[in-house]
Amino acid sequence: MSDEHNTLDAHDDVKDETVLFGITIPFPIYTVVFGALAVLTVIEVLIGTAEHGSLTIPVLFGIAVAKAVMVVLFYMHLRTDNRIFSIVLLIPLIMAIISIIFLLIVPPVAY
Amino acid sequence: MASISVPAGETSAPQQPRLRVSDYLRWSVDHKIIGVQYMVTSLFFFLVGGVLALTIRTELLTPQLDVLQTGQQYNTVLSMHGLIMIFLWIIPMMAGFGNYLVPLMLGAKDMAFPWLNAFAFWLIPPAGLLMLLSWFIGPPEAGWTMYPPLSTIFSGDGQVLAALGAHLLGISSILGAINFLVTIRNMRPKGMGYFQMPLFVWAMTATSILVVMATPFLAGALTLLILDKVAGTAFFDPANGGDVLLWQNIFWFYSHPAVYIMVLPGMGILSEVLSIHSRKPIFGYKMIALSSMAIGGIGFTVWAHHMFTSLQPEYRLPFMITSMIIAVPTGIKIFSWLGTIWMGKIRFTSAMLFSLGFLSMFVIGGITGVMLAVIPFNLHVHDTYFVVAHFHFVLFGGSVFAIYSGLYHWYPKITGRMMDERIGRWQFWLTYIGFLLTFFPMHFAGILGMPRRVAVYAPEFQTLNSLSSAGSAVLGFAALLLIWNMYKSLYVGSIAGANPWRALTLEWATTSPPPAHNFVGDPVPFHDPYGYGSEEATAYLDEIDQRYGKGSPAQPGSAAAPQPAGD
Amino acid sequence: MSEITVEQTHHEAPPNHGHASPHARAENLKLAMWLYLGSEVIIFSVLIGAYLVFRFNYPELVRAAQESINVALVGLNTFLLLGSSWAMVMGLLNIQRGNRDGLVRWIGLTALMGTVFVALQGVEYTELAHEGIAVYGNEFGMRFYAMTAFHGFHVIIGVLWALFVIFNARRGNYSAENYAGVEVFGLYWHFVDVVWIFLFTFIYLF
Repeated sequence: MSDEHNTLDAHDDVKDETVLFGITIPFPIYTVVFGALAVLTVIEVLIGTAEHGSLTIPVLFGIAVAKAVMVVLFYMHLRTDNRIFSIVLLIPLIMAIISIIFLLIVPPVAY
Repeated sequence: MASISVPAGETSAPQQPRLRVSDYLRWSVDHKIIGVQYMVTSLFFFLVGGVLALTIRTELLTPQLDVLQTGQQYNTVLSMHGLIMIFLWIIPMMAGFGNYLVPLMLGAKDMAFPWLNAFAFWLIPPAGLLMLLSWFIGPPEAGWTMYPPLSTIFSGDGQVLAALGAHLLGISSILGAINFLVTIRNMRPKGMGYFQMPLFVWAMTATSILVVMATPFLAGALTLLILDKVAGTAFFDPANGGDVLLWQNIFWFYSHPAVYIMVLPGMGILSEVLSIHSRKPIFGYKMIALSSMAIGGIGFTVWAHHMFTSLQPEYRLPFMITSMIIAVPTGIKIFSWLGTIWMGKIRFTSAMLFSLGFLSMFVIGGITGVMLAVIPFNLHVHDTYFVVAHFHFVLFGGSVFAIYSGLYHWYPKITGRMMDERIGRWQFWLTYIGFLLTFFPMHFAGILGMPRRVAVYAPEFQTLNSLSSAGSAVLGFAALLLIWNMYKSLYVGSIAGANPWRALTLEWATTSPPPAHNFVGDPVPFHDPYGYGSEEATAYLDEIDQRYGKGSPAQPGSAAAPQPAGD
Repeated sequence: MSEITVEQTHHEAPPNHGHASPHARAENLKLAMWLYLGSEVIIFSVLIGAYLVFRFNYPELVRAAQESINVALVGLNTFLLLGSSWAMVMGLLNIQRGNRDGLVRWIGLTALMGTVFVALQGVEYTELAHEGIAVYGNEFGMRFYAMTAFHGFHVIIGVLWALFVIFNARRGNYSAENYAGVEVFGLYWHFVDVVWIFLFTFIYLF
């Protein structure tokens, strides 16, 4: 790997090692994120295939959101990119969530 | 003052580009050609939809079936009328204005993605063809709203083609809207902040945001509908585990914002025309700009007022409130426009007349809209001709009047020739009177209880219906006058010059029609797009006239537009 | 003229004329892709919403259908898609550092994993069909296939796009300064991955 890359964009400064909670890990941040995604998926499958309790669905949903947020922030660079991109993603997302919640509230049988 | 900005560039005016019909019949990435392609295509579909409308009115002249043989044929005619007028006339026409004008108003050479722009347009002819073909293979009979089970069980296979057509048109408008948003955000010239943009560009911004966020709802719903028709699923069939209300919810997630998709660009046209033709700065620039955004935002929260009769009572009330709230930003616009023409040097050009027509008609449509938002009243007139009257007042009296106005206003820029003002005035008054005659009686028919979408009605409604039918004939004739005027003026209209209306927005700071890359050099926008009445503005406008030449006086036989009485 | 300068401080990016500079071109492309993804959010929300309404109103039907699902296979698939996202972003990192061969290798891995994902989805469909979960006449089946097939269609488009990126890379069209094409494809691919994260949780684990 050459180190003569320019620094036009903010996310160009990805290093070959990542410092996490004070510990230096010899992989770039992307690999660390992948590791976290894999671990979370395993946890998710373990919870999801076990007997469902009252907390199962919220916890599963929370883990899914965490995974999605990691992909969006790190792989899609929203953490460092222009804020307009976050706005462009968030507004339709809010719309989508509102509409899904409304569909869930309205009873399926017509009045 | 040293800061009088003039359109920079070379000293000599560029060569006047020649317009050839063949340029418009093939793939082109020039936004001006694409804009005209949009406009001409949608005018064609306007005529098709107009013939269907006249068929409806002829049928309703008498209480019995006479022109059409069966009620099903009537269903087909009204479904096609709705689908064509909404998806193939108003929406593409507004996209046409946007395509032609947004880059010019921003002083840009083209849209951000010219190829994508052309692609978005060329989705429209096949989509229109699909819609027309749907007539022949078991036509759609469910209206433009395509409610199941009307669309899934009682309509023929043509419903699938119509849905596919709507799907393609949806993709086309999403791609177009993305292009607009990127262009508007990233390609403004130096010295033009968001709040120096012409209000038409603001209106296109709000519209494009709505398109990007609302149209996918329709795409999703149509996908499920097509699956129900083709793949044997039962998303909307309660007998097999589906949910019939799902369609209504998702459809109106899209289609209520779509109402604003259809009218917001028209409001943008109005903001331009009213200010320019009354030689006054626009009143409340920021309020008009931001109320577009407010309408866009609130427009997403009102959908269930279309479902007051199918929704549980406890869910109706919030939608009544939001539906009334949306009248506030609309009212802000109306009052700002009134403030704009107040004490202005109004010139009653055809463009101005149609804009004033929009103002009066849209107010009536807006008031009936608030009436319809009242739940008890809504339950009374639900699915009656009152609703038909309401949405024709906002869609014809609103959007179509704005389109007519925009055509008269920008025709000189697009073709380099003026339209005939005498025919224009005739067309305006015929349209205005014909429109009132057609749609005003429908209010009464509706309140008296005449249901919509019926071919056979109770005899006591015949007087009102005859009035409507008579009015529709006048309306149809007036639309033909417009087409004739546009065609004739192409050949015998007087030469327009660069800036016949002495307008300050950038699209006039170049030749008519503009050269291939719009401007010679980088145009310098006037610091206030509506700063009429100042010496600076006069100097700027004189500079444009000097640089690009003035129009020639009217030829005998065609009436000229009233000249500006001052700046 | 002072008010103009006030307004200009609101600009987040310098406005440009035409598309001369590659940086402006990249900004335009990325904004367009994000807007497109915004609309994709909505269209997927329709399908997901239709499923979730069913899931919460008829939990026993969903439970019954989940009996016949092979979670191990789908779990493997999830890993493939997550891995392909990782490969994608490593490819981008390589071209940002000017390493064209690295780009081709990593994007090749992305395309391979995407292909295997689609193939395994085919295997899953076959298994489910044998269990009697069909597109029609099955309340779970129609919603399941509509969602996953629509997502699978996006993966197929993504794989074709990946091959196109590889083709471009081999012709030397990308460099450490000019990688917008890779980045925009990456946005699309990661979005498809994010959608799968939710589909996986909602369909197989809820």
